[in-house]
Amino acid sequence: MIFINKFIYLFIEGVKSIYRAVLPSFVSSMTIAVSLIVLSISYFFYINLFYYTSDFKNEYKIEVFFNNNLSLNQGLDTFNQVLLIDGVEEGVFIDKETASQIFKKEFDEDILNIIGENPLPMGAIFGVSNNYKSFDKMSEITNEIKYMKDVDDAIFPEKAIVEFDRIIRNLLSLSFITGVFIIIIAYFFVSNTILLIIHSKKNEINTLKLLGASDIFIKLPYIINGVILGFAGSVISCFFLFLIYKISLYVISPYYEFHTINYQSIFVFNFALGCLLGIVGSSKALSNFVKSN
Amino acid sequence: MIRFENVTATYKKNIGVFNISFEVESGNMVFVMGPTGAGKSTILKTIYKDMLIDSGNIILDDKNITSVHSNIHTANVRKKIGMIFQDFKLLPDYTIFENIALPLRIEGYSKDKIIELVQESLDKVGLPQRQSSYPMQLSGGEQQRVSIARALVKKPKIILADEPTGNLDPNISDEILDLLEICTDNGSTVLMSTHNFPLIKPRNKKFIELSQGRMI
Repeated sequence: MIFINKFIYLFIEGVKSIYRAVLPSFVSSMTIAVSLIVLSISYFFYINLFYYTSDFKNEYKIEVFFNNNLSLNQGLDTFNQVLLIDGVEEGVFIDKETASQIFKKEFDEDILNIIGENPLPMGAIFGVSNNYKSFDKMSEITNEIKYMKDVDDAIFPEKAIVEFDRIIRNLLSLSFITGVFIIIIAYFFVSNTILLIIHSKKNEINTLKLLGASDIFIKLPYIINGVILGFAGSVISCFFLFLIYKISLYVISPYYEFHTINYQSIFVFNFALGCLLGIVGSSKALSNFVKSN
Repeated sequence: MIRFENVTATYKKNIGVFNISFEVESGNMVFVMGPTGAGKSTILKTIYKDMLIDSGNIILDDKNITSVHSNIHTANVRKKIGMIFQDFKLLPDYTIFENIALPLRIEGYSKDKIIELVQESLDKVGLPQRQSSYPMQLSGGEQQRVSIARALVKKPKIILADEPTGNLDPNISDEILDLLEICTDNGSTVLMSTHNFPLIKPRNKKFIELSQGRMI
């Protein structure tokens, strides 16, 4: 019962200390809110980028041209042998007839009319499984295909893949660094704001100590204060994120279809991170205060 | 009961109190007298553990508190003591009621018990109608009464008053002393420091006189 009485009192003190220092508390909450908004938007872009790259990587294909003197059965045999290679997931066989149709479609000319015969070789287009959709793995597979007996050539879009992988890597690194940087700034902001509040209450803290208050009795209201600031920041961030999400859906969805995120999970993440920032920030402020006294 | 046995407590540069021995019986009021810098506050600080002693023993209600160092044990010693300070040490953002209730909040008393005890304490110091005011709305004398009410609220066996009349007019100072004497009627032991000999002279109480940290 004593513990409950104390906790209720300290919780109320934690709440009261917010309106005893309204401006610093407001600034802290807004810092947390802005940090969470930027983090959530970064995460949203990360997820969309991830799906976008998956879509793009689905277009990673290996084109294989068989030797021109092969019979249809020999071509099909070679096609089946390629399918047995590790990492090759699917394939479409292209016989000479289909090759001429593709030529006609792309160049709007019938090759039989131009040359009088069909010189195009049989071939195939192979897709690789997700784990193999990198430059190194696709090079490996392509080389293996290239050196098969009845294969004339095998190619894949090397430069595009290298460039795309580089861009994605840079973007992901940038968003990670930005996220970490934002969390550090929010952490220092919260901790310094609470430190300011604590310093302004220095005399009160000393009086409480003289009256026999334990360390936890003195510290707990500030930690609760931190949690409330974090929680308030989360609520503000969720409100603005919801608005931003609805507006961006309205403005951008005609041009690009978002891979939407389950926003309950974003809200939970925001609340958890906001409260954590509050606790860690206030704990840091308290330990700094104890060191300087 | 408060007993000092050859207590020496020093700050830097060998300033402090030296070889102090005295005893205050339960229910008595004793003054610690002396000019500024004589070591009056130092003696009180060693009792409420704001300062560690170099040698000797301090016994509070038959318990030797000399070796109490940790924060938890210091807090426990302070819980048993009612403290009154020259500068009142009231929390400006708290109402008078909340200021007086603080020692009870620290102990985890229930809401109803707190209301009852604070009201009782306010009645004792004659300020029952000021419980919703803030310290800055009160005169110096009234603030010191609140400080006394805060010290009395948990009915401590020991009350330490560090120059409680230092900032007050003579007639108000007399009223404060009256209040402290009433505390001894209730069984509390009171140790009060002061440099104002004319104030305590008519009271005919035991006093300890200090000069440059030593008992005279």
